[in-house]
Amino acid sequence: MSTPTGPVGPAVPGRPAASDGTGHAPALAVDGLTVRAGDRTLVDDVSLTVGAGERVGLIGESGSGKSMTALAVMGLLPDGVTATGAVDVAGERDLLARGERRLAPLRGSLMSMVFQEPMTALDPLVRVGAQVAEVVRLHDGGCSRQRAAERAVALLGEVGLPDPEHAARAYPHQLSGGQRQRVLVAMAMANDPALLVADEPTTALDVTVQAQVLDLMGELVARRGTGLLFITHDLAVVSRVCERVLVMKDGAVVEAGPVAEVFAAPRHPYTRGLLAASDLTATDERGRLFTVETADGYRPGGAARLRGADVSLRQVEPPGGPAGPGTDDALIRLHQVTKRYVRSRGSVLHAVTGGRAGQRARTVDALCGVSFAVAPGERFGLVGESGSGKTTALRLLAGLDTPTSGTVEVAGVRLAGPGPDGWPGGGPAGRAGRVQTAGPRDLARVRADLQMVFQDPMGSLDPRMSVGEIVAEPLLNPANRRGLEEAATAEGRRELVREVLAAVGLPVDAGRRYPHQLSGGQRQRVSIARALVCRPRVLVADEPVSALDVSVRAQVLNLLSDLADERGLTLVLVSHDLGVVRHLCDRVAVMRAGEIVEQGSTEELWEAPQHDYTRRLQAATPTLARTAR
Amino acid sequence: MTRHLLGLVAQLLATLVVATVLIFLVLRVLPGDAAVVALGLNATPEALAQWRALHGTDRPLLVQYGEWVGGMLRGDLGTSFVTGRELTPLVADRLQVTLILVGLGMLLALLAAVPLGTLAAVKHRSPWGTVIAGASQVGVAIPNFLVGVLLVSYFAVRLGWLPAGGWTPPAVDPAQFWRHVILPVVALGTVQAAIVTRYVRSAVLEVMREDFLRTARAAGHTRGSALVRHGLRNAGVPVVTVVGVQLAAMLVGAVVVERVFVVPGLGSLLVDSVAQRDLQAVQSIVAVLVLVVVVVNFLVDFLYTVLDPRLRVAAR
Repeated sequence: MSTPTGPVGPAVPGRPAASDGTGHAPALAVDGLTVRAGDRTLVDDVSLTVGAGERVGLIGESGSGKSMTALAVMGLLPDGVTATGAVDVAGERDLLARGERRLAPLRGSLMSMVFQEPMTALDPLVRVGAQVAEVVRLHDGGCSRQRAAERAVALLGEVGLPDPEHAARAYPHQLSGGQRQRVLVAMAMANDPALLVADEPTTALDVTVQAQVLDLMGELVARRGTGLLFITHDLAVVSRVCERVLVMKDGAVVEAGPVAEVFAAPRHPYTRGLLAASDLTATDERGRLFTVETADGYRPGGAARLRGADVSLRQVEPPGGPAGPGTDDALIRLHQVTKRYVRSRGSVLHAVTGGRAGQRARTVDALCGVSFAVAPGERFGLVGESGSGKTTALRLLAGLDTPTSGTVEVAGVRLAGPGPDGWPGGGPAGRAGRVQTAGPRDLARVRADLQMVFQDPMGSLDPRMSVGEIVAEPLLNPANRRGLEEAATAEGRRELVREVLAAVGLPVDAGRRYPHQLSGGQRQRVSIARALVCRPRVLVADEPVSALDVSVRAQVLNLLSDLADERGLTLVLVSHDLGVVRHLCDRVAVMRAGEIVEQGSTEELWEAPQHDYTRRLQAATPTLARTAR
Repeated sequence: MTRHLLGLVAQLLATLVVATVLIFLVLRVLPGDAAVVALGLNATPEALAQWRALHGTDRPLLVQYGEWVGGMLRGDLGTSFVTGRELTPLVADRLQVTLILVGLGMLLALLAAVPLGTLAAVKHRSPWGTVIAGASQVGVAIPNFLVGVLLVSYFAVRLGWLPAGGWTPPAVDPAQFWRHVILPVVALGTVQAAIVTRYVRSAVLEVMREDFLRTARAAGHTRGSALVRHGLRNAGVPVVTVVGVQLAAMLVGAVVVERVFVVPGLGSLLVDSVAQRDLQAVQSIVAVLVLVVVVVNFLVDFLYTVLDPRLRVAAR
């Protein structure tokens, strides 16, 4: 079962790259590419080939030079960054030697590129049909406006936009992220390029949308015989799309070969480390994920057995057990919670002149009757795509917002619920009665017990405070010092900060540094330290690893596991990634459009999902295991 | 879209109502009885009462306000308390002069600022960019009357190419009109050009970092053509805001340049009227200025929605 058989799809395993035997020039030939910014070398002597119609993945972590390689090929390097070496695209020789004026006509016709961030990659002021038509006319001066517009509609249809004629008249902000990425793919494929460069094209998208866009790109390049250079940090995505893969580290290619071969039997330790760290189903004997450093014990495909051992190990620990707590002993309880946001019309004058402002106001139901409970010591996961309401649920838990109706209880404090004379708990959805909310004193108690870790470690740390100050800040609030009398003095606080920084694995001198001097993983450790310094009982983490590199992701997830074990923490984890939740959590709730469609123990839910949406989510989540099988 | 337009018009009307009430009340509350000012401190009570009856200042405030606003709606700004002349033709005449100065000044400013600001942004790493940015910095710091005085002393006094001051309406003698208008317009325009250049530069710099410009280049545009095709219109939104604000500021600010060049503009009329305590003239002139500013703001708001489809949706 674990014997690798080739990649899925119409691949030609093991095809040599440079000369494909048909006499065609390769779609891309890079020889000795070196990219420098000042005296720093970003890409060091990289050579690679993409055969005509071949799909090649370029993987690496942030700073590995993979994006710079792509930009150098396209001649789009930022100011102050220079490239040397040889780049040939489909027989056009030595593109690096060409000036902007001679290179620009090749972009969009011979070679094209799709970027990571679809939300900002389209001109917000121009209809998408016109933007696609522009690419057509840019390279075919003889094409009339009329013909180009028709061609644009055809292309938009080809990339799977429903009702392409209507879509062509839309402005970018009227389309979703996935739809915008489809438009960008249409622009890139408009003139049948020989080479398509895709730089993390699906990283910003939801998993189900990612799967659709990946399938679309794979299908288009296969149909048109376009060579694909696919850049990503996500190994599972590469295994879904590509035939051959190159691994970059610190500006150099460390390993290359067919996907099935490299993933099944990596030769370079770094590749092995990346694979191990990416595989959320594989754990060591302690039930921890492999990191790049501990990857020696990792064997691709040997995951399931270890995982089973891990589960039986863990089932002993949490008192509530994976069956879920009774409502009595729950530490966190949400009952029939709804949250309705009202988008106001903005101007006061509109209310005056329109006279129908209240009627016109738009409402958004972020949560429609959500109930769940978390037992002490349990690890609870909330999974869902953007807009599913998972972040709203967290905001209510932390007392940062109040529900429209329903009951929220955390650590014995009723944050929101019906008043003493109010209607019985639950009540009909909507506004059937006033919700009574906790006072500041109760809120302070909850916050001492429940702390949060946010997604973006850079954005959630004050850049002008040192790490020591950041971590000590919660202790300045007397409400957070319950049972921590030593925190009343500056010396006592310093001691507590030192202790917690050590607990999250940061070096001793980290307290004196500033956030910008740390790496992404270290910053997330600081966030965790800040959350833990006042010894909360509940740690709530909102997408804590989605902004991190693969190898760092494993470290941070392990850290969360360790801390939860050592300190008896109750974990609530929100993630779009079913894999992350599956690894860390005992119980999971799957959210969609403000509702919990399914909840249960992680293994049950993974092995036998009941709801159709859970199955779709599972199928769309790219995993390495599927390739190795 | 229509709803949004109606909303803007309603906003415009509401602003005008509030503004006229404020102007009217402030001028009544201020110390200094118009009758005493007109007739002097030694005037007899009978004479004062007669004057008040003549000009209607002895009637209830609400009646006075209603008459004033009603008159303006018919295009009648009332009569001057001091000279007894009809205000409407006088203000119309002066307003025309100021609008010509301000309009041409801003046109000149934009003609210089858009290319210079764009160039400064595109070349922001080269000496040229620094030179333009530095020059615009200096330009902002120079008051426009100083520019006016320098222009007069060189082009009028030393070279004698153009008149040092005065005014000929365009309908009377177009050639003379242009000779008179050049120096004041240049004086007004250069300072505005400096201010707007700085905004254009920063707007273009901002837009040059946008992802969609990279997309445009990946689709086959050169740096330059991507900026022209997709960058400038995006950079236009913040620039339109500044131009709107500056137009309003110039309208009143023109008074200094009008003084330097002895041009009979609305600003000079306002200053004279204030000096003479001509209550009726002051309140009517201020109301007209408010009207012009509000209309400019209305056009700016409307232009936003033309430029940016996202605001159209938000406005709907």
